[in-house]
Amino acid sequence: MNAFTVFLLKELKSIARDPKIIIGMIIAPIILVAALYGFMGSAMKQQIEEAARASGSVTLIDLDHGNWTQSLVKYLEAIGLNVTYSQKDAAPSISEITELMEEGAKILYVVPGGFSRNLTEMTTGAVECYVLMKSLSFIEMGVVSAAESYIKSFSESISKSILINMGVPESFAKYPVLSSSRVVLAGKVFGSPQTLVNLVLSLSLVMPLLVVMFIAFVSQYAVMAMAVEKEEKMFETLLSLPINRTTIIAVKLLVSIIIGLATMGVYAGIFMWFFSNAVSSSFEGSPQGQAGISGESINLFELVKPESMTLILIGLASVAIFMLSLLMLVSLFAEDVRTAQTFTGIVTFPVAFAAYAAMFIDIAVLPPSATIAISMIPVLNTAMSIKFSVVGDASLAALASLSNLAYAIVTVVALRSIVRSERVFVAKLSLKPPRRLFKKYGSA
Amino acid sequence: MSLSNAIVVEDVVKVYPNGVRGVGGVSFTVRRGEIYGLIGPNGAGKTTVLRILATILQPTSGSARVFEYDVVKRPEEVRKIISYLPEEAGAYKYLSGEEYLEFIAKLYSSSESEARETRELGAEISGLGDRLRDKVRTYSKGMLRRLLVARAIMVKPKVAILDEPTSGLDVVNAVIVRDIIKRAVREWGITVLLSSHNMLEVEYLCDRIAMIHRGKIIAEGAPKELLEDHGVDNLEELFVRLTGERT
Repeated sequence: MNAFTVFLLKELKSIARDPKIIIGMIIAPIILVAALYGFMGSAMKQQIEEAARASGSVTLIDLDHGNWTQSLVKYLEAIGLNVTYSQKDAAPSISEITELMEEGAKILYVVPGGFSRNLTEMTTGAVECYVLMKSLSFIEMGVVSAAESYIKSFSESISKSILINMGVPESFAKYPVLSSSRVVLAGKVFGSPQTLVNLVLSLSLVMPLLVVMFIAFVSQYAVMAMAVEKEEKMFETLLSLPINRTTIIAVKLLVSIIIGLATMGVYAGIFMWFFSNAVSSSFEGSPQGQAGISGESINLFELVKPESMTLILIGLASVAIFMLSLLMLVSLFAEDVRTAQTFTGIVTFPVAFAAYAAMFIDIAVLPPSATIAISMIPVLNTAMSIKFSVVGDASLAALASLSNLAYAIVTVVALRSIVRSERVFVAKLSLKPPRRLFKKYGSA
Repeated sequence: MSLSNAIVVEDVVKVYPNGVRGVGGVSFTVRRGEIYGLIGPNGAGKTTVLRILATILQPTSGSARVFEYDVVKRPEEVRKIISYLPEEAGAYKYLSGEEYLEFIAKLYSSSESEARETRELGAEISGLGDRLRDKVRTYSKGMLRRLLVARAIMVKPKVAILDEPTSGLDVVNAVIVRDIIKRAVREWGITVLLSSHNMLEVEYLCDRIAMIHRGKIIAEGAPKELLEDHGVDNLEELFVRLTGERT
């Protein structure tokens, strides 16, 4: 068994038994995330069910007493709504409306007098639409949209019926003018602007999110990796053992990556379970479930060439190694675990900042020098590299990836150089007051 | 370098980056198969010399060789033939004593069988018996030190470098550790370079000693010869006489 494997097994064994790492990095986050997702799932399910219930029933107060109001009621029932109908002679007061909505459906329509007469005379009729809101949540906003869309849909059906009765073909009656949107981007034409923008935005969001999540998961271990050797008083011994010091660093980096990927895998599993069970099952029972995003699908490789995607992935891996190496450098100089952990934020905070700064940068309005500078800022350039590739600026995308690769190589070489010299032992980063190496006889 | 020499240190100076002078021109030679002691008070420069020989620090000037390997030019070769025990050493607290010995044994061995034999020897030297199955974090200071000394000796290095091997131990554990050191030389021909500020212990244990004071060697030789030459009863008295200080 070679030294790499021996040291790797030792490292994995120590981690698996260290309650600080097991609890702090795995058990506690899993419990927290599971509880969070559980809570979110339960809350969302409840809201969706409530929204389905709320938007599936309406109360209609008829002040019109005309045939068009009856048509409206029939139309609402035909699309599957439960309609509570009542005729009144006078407009209800606000307190009556509130009382009715508190007791019954959250959607209330008031059809004023003259509504049917107007429509018969081909004059615009109006329906007052009330929606009871209690929590101002997104789900309640959906109920508002539903309430408006029922009336809009009825209105369109009337127009269509009239036009068809006049001998207008149904397809023309429905959409006399159709638009066909096209986007011209980097010399190519794409058929679905919304899908294109959604794809690029989500990729631009996912890329840095992956880096941020990875760094967040591994930072605690990576920054403690060498500090823990000092805390366990094994550092000095380790430096004198017949094991290549580069091997020590390589093992620590590998274990960091293993922990990062494993933790991300666990979180991804919980996330997927959450969406496949808790949330999607809630949507199934919703009458508004059909309201999804539609549009042409766009193949990612239509936007980004395979070679550019390879470069982007190299850049992504490089920036992760660069960040890990930086954390490991902090760990090397930290005198103990506490000091190492204190300095973690110095490395990880700019990562989160840089990752999301990309969302607010419009490369089209920036001068070339600024875009070149951006393409060389680690993490930020990872987030931007998808945009660079999509807009056809292959040179900037390549610069972004290659600069990350260069940073990774430089930091790994620096790490290797430091660990092979006595600086690894002499240089210290400490929160404790400095102490003299030789209290009694040492002389400056 | 004579073939009978295990360690040769020539005019080694070490100045730390913060300007502190660790040692200022130390020279000595350790012969094969002897126990050589560096003695002196805390901060005299003993640990600096040992760290240089263990390839952890590099001398600012001068040279140090272990079995003809220069510690600066051939550190990897030096690490293969030495075993270094720092004064404030620990072990991986979430491993058992047995697993710790196995980890070290595998780093020094070329085969599984060799590693197993080394680990078994370490277990025997430590004398910890069934407690080796327990996690290191449950060990007392004496047990930990015995484990670490066993770790340093079981790999049968050409040179064992032991920094204050009995420091802070009770009488029983100190005697056990001294016996292990004696056995290492007697049974496996290991050369031992140790440091101590316990001059009586060194007088009992070492074939030759070097007294180090303010980073310089002020006396060197066999303990008995030094006592006779200076007409003193023990090494502590000699140290006080040579330095003119009351320690």
